[in-house]
Amino acid sequence: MGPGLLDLLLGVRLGVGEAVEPGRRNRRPIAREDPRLNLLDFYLFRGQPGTTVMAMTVNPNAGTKAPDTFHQEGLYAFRFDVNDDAHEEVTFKIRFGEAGHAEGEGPEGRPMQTLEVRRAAGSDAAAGTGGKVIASGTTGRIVAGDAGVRIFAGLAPDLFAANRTGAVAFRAALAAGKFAPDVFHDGANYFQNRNVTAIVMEVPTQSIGDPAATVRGWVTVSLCGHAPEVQVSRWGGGAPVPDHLALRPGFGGLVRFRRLQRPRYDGQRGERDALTAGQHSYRPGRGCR
Amino acid sequence: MTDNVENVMLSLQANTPIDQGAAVDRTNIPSEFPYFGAPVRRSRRAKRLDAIRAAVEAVGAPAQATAEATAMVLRLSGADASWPLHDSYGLPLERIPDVIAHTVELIIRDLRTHVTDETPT
Repeated sequence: MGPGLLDLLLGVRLGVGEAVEPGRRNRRPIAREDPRLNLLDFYLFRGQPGTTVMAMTVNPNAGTKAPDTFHQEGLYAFRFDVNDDAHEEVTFKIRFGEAGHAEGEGPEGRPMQTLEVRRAAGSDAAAGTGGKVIASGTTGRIVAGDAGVRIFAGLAPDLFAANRTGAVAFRAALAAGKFAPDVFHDGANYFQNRNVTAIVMEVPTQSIGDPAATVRGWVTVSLCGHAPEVQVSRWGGGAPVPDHLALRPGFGGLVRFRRLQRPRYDGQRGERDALTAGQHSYRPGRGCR
Repeated sequence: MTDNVENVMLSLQANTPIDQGAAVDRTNIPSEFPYFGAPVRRSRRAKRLDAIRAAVEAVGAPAQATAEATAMVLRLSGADASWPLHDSYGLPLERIPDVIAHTVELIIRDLRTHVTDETPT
């Protein structure tokens, strides 16, 4: 296990060591600069009978060092490959309105944004903001949508756990040629008492795909002020680590990591190249293609 | 959601069980939608406000005086009270905690006079 992989495993959320572009979590400079676009974690698991739950988190240290709102021009998307062709066939897209404060919610006022969820299939799944609206409401509360869809978006505790002190010591030991897993045992959870902003959706499994099939999912955050849209953050994609979540036939509770074997995101390669060249700024208010 | 991803991945990569000694607080993972618990800041703030209410009530003053004092102390307990002292009135940031603490002491001292007034001798 080399230092690069250690960075990938431990340094991404901890801010340990040099900046590393992780395989499972791919962020452009603007996503690192704007916490609202900084994709942290992706969860996918079985919910209530017949449903599947998907969740993504952004805004590390939300409410303190980061906002507790979502980007008004952000397109937050859960993407699913349902036929093993390494491209998304079904995408759930979430967009948010201008940040404000709810009235009558206490002296501090509860941050609130409107939200809209669309389910896109076919060509709409791959790009743009198109799709059928399946839920709409506001952040900070559970919103019920069409046919059993539920969504919550808002401030939530960070469910990631890691031992930062141990990670630093482990890396130092490894750099000195020592394998020292014992350094982890006394450390505290660096992420305890921290918040993120989460988007959690529970949808009928049938709305994703055939429950008898294996379905693979990943999440992206894009900016829609640009034309065309610019993907700035992604959970999933790239070797060498398991890079996306797969639900086994029946969409059972077992969440598996599995690497896609074929290229993907071909439709966005041009954007990725442009971003690599440093064109990570965007023009607000232009609207998505 | 209760699995520690770092432990799992480290163990897989190292081919030996590694426990980094950090775990998610299970109370933050309810079994019902949305499966994320209450934000940490709000729960901690709620506990702090409850503690303030209990402390002011423990002074033993009459109900109205206790309610008024509680409201003022609660108002002073948040960041929304301290920042205007700096932004609007120019107090140095490092002095603000002491200024607020002194103000709270004055409120409690006044509240105690109500106890004395109404306490049978």
